[in-house]
Amino acid sequence: MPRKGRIRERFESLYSQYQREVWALAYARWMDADSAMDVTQETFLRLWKQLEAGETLDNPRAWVLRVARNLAEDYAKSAFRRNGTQAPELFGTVAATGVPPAEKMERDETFARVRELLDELPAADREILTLRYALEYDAPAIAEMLGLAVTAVHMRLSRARQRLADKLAAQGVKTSP
Amino acid sequence: MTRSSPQPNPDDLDRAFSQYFRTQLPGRFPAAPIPTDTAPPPAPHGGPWRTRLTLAASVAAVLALGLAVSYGPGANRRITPDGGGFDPNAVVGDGKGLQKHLPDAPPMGMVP
Repeated sequence: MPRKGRIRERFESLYSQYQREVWALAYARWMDADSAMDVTQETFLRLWKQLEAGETLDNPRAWVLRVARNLAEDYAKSAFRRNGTQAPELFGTVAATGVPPAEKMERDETFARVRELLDELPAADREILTLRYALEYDAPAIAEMLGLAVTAVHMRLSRARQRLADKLAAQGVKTSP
Repeated sequence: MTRSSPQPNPDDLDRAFSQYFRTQLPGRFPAAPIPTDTAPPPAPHGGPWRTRLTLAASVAAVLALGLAVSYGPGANRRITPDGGGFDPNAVVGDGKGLQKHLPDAPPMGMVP
């Protein structure tokens, strides 16, 4: 197989393996699904350039995650400059799906509240929550991805959930099934 | 979500988070972002000399076609003086056919 074909094959394999993780990290930073997708695409474009230039990546997963984190920061700063006064997470909306209007309204209200609370958490806690709930990773998988001890993940996950529960309780809100 | 309980049920909390994040996660990701190849196509077999030869042959063919159009059988076609378009009768190889449309030529030596 020619060199270009091998690069392409490897790149597509890495993309399918890590696209969701990259998206999750970018999403956790600013809680905006579209921005996260932009960051994901840009991250993998840079990976392609690396591979095409013949750079060796000992740990491509760590590489793409690090690039995604950096890009998420840069993206937010540039978006902040463009928008003038507000960071992009304030413009984010909950994706629409085909549910009845009344249910949708109630769900949107719940989601808006969840989102509001998530925004108040440290970014590191949001990362763990995003991996836990969006990608359904368990604590060992999160620990491996973020380079943390499993106990640390348990602790931070528990703390983040407790914070959210406290905030919801302070607002006199409980979640309904 | 309703306002009443002092502490949310942990299962409800989990469910709310799961639902929330599931709506955010894209169902399908776009194809891998591979830039389109901007490199020039590989040279045809035979190398640059063959390319030049092909170009020269093409130029020669265009020139030959141009000459053929200029001096070929259709080269003597004329537009009729009345502007009515091509007169097929006016197309004569020795030019005699033009005489019936042209005024009589003045005698030699006379200035019109």
